[in-house]
Amino acid sequence: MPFDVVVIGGGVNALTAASYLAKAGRKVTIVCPTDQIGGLCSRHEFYPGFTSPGILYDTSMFRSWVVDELGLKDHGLTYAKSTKTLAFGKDQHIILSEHIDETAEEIAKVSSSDAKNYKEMKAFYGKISGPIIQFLNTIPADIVDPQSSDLWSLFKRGFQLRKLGKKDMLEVLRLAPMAVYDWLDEWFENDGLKAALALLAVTESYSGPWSPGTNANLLIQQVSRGSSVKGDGLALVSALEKAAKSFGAHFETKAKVSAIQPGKGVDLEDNSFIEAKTIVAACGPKNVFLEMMDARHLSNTFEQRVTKFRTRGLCSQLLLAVNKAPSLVGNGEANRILIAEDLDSIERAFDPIKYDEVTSHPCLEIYLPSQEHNDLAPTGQAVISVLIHYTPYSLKGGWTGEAREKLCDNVIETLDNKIPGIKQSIVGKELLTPQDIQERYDLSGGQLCEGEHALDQLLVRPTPECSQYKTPFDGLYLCSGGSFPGGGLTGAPGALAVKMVLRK
Amino acid sequence: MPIKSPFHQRTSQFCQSMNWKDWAGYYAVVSYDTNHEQEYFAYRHAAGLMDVTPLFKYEVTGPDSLHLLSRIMAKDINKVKQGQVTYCCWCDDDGKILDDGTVSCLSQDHYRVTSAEPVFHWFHQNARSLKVTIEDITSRFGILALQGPLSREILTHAAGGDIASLGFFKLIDSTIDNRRVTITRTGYTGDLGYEIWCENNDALVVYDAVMESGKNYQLIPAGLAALDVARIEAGFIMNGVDYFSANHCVINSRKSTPFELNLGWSVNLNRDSFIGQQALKKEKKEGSLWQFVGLEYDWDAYEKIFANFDLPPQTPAQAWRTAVPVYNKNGKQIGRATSGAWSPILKKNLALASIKTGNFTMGDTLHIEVTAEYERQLCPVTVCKPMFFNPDRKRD
Repeated sequence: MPFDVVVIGGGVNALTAASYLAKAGRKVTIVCPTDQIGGLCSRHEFYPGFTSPGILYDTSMFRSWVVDELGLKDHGLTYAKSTKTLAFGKDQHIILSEHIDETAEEIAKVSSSDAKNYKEMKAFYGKISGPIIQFLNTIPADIVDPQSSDLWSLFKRGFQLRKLGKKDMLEVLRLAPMAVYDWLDEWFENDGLKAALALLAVTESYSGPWSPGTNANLLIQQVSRGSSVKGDGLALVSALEKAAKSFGAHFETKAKVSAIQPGKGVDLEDNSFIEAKTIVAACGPKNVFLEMMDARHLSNTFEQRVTKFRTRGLCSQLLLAVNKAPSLVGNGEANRILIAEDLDSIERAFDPIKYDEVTSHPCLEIYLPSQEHNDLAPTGQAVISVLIHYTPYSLKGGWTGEAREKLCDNVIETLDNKIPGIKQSIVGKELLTPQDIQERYDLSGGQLCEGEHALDQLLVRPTPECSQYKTPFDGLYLCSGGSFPGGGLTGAPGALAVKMVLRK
Repeated sequence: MPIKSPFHQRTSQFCQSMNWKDWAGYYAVVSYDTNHEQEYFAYRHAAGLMDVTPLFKYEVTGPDSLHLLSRIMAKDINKVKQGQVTYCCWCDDDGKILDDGTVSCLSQDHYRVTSAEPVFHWFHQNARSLKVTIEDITSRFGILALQGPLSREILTHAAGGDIASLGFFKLIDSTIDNRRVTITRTGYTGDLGYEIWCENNDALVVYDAVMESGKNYQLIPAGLAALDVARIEAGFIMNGVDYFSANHCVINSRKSTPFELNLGWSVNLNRDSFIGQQALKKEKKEGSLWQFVGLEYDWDAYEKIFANFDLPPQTPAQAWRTAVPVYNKNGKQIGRATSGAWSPILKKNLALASIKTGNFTMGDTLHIEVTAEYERQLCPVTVCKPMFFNPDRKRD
């Protein structure tokens, strides 16, 4: 029974693409390699009775226009009133949220001038966000074989930027290629605040806060962030799955694609074949072209470009099963925690991975999913997901049992420093190094964004011939985080790719 | 500084002229005597023995060897059976030629490739995910080219096995003076001839044994100058002379395609994907910009050009490889002759040339630039297929 479209993958982009396609009347099947839908937001039991919520959780950048166009609110999606992040600095903490005034009040406790500047910075981002958001929500112009429409779209974007006024336009042009360190240093004095703002901007690429170009990530995050979905990644996936099913999308789980035959369909590892003229791949570009396709079909130039697309994983996840929920400062409202003392400590955590070594003072990004999802842990107990920045893919000497234990000890020690008592409450744990992440989630290099968010890989992503989601092969499209505008739970690559598919 | 081939001890002993050149980083003899004529006639009437070790040599082994070669080569290597050698070229994504050489099939997972330029990087780049090992064996093996009408008799005497029935572009494993060799019936002279591969350690023993066997057949060591004349007579192109590898071209117009070099016969378009296939298919459909041809000088006109200066006709002492313009009868330049030579056996002045398609047909008279007494003159040439000398014995 042939389908019109087969979507490879099971994550947010796959579900978004499948929903759009099914909604447009296409006969769609999703082939998900694992038994759980959700990709990086899928569950697995990591310790008896304790279930991981996956790796990604932050839905604040999921596009609201996708929510509206797919009617996700009809499928159970609601927004959280407020999402609070507890950011630990050296001898302080700040509670950040999407509410500017509330956050400024918090910041005022450590620096009144920073509180004032925070508001000003947010106002600046608000002012310049229009053209940038529009840029991020539009199919990139074709730079390989530009048509008049591509030139027009480029012109339009340039014009929108110009409409900001000369001063702001010049500021946008100045800030994008900057190091996030320099930019934040211009605004703030408090080290903990700077580190909290910078951490999430530098961890998607192979860079530290001193690296040029990292400010572009901060810019993209700051203008794209809105309200989070209540229940975070898991809830988003559940709404998307329901939407896709309501539009008639067919699901096939535990279906690992072994080979792609563009224009014909996909071969699965169980030797079955799914026939579909159109293939939309929500898995990374390296997986698609270097693993699922016969190398002979790739031109040398194209193959080299795909090979050069950098997908170095630099983050590990430590899942902790704890027998009592951690007690946090600030009324325990925060369900995410950042631990980074200052910008230099992030840079120092980054430095060793260049030499395939790992820091003994990692910066941590912690998510407490059990607050929203009480089914993840037994009653009264909790699951803690800790993203560890930074860890190399190939550790010198290998990720031996000893190396893994050492990393876990360092992380737990750092955690226990900020959240006393957590160490004693741990009953079980699982560490996923970039290698494990690659294995479990089929991510090239264990790179969570399916490709580093470096400046050169953000605009033309992943290669010039694929920058518009189409590929050199008729009927094969890309829609993972390895495509524009990048990784994370945004839904944008999935939605934009479908626009391209339907354009044909 | 060039390095010495494993045959150097012998070649240097015979090289009375001290006329050496650097060939791919090796010392190579241009001519053993002060003039290459005798060596040329050895190739054509008896046999010449040449050290062709500087050819780049690669061994491709492993279960995906055929897969790799069929991806790289414009020719369908699937058709090459065990014990067979094939001449082929390879291109970039745009169908522009990178190099040409031979592929020998020792078994279905063991091939040897020769090339004019280093190709390890290109092969390696295209071998990702394939179960294949590529080894540069250039410095591990020596190769002797035994070329000429008497080469079969000499080799039958020197080597074990059935040399007499070894077909054109076939190979056998054999022994020479108890040393293991691989013999291929190939060469660059366009005549009956063989190439003998041996390990470096066996090189001198093999060399001596072949020379000893050739004693009664007028076998002499022969060099590059004689080879250059022979290859022009045979119409064999040379990388860096008659065409340039796309790797080295700064401008597109300098690149060539196999069709433009008269190598269309070595391109198998309708098969599984290979590098450059799409571009070559397009070219096949739309036609090529250039054609590779032979040019035969009009001797009377040539003589006259020099007679006007009270000079006898001056033919080049050696093959030449500085390109000269070729014009149509209206004086418009329509191409270039890239190499040429006086053919002693044909008694003709010859050139190999690239001419723009649509400006000629075979048999037409065009004009080539000739310099006589420091003045540029035009000499009529007849366009013909680029194969001036093709004796039956080459294939028989």
